[in-house]
Amino acid sequence: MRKHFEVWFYIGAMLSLYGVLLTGAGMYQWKHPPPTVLANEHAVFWAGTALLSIGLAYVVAFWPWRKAKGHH
Amino acid sequence: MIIAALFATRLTPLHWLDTTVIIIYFAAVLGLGFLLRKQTHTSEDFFLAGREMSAWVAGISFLAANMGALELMGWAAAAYQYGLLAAHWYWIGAVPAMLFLGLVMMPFYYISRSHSVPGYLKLRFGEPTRALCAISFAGMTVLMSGINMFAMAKVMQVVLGWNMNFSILVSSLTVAVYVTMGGLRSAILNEVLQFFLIWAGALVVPILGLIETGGWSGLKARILANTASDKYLHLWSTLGHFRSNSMGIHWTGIVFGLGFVGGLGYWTTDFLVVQRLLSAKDLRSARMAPIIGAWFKMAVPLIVILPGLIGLAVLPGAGLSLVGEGAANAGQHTYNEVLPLLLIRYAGPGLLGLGITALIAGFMSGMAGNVSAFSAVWTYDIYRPLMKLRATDHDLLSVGRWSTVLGVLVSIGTAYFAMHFSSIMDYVQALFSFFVTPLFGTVILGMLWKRATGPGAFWGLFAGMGSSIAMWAWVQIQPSALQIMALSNDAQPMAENLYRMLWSWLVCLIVTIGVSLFTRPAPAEELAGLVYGYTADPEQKKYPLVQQPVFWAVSAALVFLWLQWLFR
Repeated sequence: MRKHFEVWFYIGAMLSLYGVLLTGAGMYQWKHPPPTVLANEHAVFWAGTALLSIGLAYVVAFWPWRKAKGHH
Repeated sequence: MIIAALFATRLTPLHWLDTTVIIIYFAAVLGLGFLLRKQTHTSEDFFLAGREMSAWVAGISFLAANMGALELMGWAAAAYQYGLLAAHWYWIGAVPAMLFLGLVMMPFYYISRSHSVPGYLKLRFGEPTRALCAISFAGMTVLMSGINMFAMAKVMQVVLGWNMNFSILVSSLTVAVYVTMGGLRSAILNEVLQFFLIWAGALVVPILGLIETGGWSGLKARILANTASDKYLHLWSTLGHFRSNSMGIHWTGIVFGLGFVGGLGYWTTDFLVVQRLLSAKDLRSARMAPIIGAWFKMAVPLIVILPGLIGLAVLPGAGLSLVGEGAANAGQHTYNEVLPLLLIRYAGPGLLGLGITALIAGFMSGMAGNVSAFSAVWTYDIYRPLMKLRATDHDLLSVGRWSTVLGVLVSIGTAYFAMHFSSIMDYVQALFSFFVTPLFGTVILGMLWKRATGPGAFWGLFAGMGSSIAMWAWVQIQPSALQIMALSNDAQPMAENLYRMLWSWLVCLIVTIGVSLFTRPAPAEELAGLVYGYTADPEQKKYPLVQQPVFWAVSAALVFLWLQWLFR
């Protein structure tokens, strides 16, 4: 692992976790829409997939252990 | 019973998924502090994050430290109340200052290797000026930190029905724990994390708001229909006279008071933000960081000003007409609630939790910024020079940790003090004008005028601060004095702050120049690395054009000008 803490990886993991939660909630809400304005736009689902995509991109791009292998 | 009392009245019930999202956030910020605690061995690690941050990390935290109560709640409220004019505080009130900081001022701060803004003043002007700046800054930061706490507790009370004491305790303890463990490194990296969460949680309102209103043109049409006036939709064209805009302000106040003195004062001399740049790993990163911040700053109105305008467009149709803090009757909502009301309107379970997390993240990043800056100034600029001249590095690290806790405790006290002010904005603007704008006069003369002397700087800063407090007190005692200060019978209270900043800065400048001309200047060898003309820029020519700060600063300036023209 790198000597210094990799904040971008940590952010990616956090966004991915939120992405999984919101995508799951969005899939449920697709069938059971919440009483919000524009619920038919399925904002929770789309926000979840966006967060998951961005989060995974950061996790892959800043994966700390892969860098450690490269150094050795 | 106790739990029921904590959640007595609220705008919306919280789904378990929202609670989970909020709990994950608290675990993540504390976890980050825990992971970073082992990397903090010296005072430089604690106060300057080891000077190893990249331009992106320093730039994002530079911006995020400012995204506290004002940014998210106050300016969304101001946009609802005043329209697009509120965007001036993001654009002309910040962007030129950030670019100027990156291009002109950063080399002096960075090359001098000072630990703080008061530390720079010590090198340039001597101990008395440093002491005056450090003591006033320490007082200001804990007062600002308190207002952040108060604002967050207020949101939690309004939206979730949380008891204010409970909110203040939980948020302040969390900040105290992660900053005490990891120092500035923990504060900065948490600010970067919080910056991402703020965007993730807040974007739902502008996106769904624009879909609901039919895009920008539909939004404008609804605002015109609701307000019967187009003055909410212009940046510049209504500023020709105090009477022709909703703020009661004139373009001279915006350009000179806000853009020149207020913006430059805050973004270039407030150690809360400058501390993030001093953590950069090299001079080029330190110069790029505020320029990166400027690019993001230009986009922040998307999640702050646009929601205020969306509120103006859609809330009246839903039977909600917001009023000022002092004018609200039971059951009526205030301007400050516009953002939470819109979150509830659009965000279903899960997304609402993320939106509330964004608000909490904003408040905590602002509070942590103030507390970490307070700790550095207290330790380096008050404790070491005034209490223990021969303090070891271990002493400084220990005092840094204790002063973080002290800063949080004093902030809790000031949060309760802030509750007695009728308007949060008045409180904050008054603090800035008392301390920050006169300081900008002292620092800019110190950097650009080699003839400025220590006695000149001290008395100039003292006179600037004194005149600002005196002008504020004058208007409090005699409200009609506002018309004298703003040079117009039609000026409104918002104009008072801007003109007070301008006059107090001028007082500082005039006194500094006057006293300097009658006192002996420092010899040239003492000014190396501190003043224009005696400071070499060693890294400027080593990079191709597209990697140079000046390239990105000019590009940002062009985009800034385009935005002014687009929304004129």
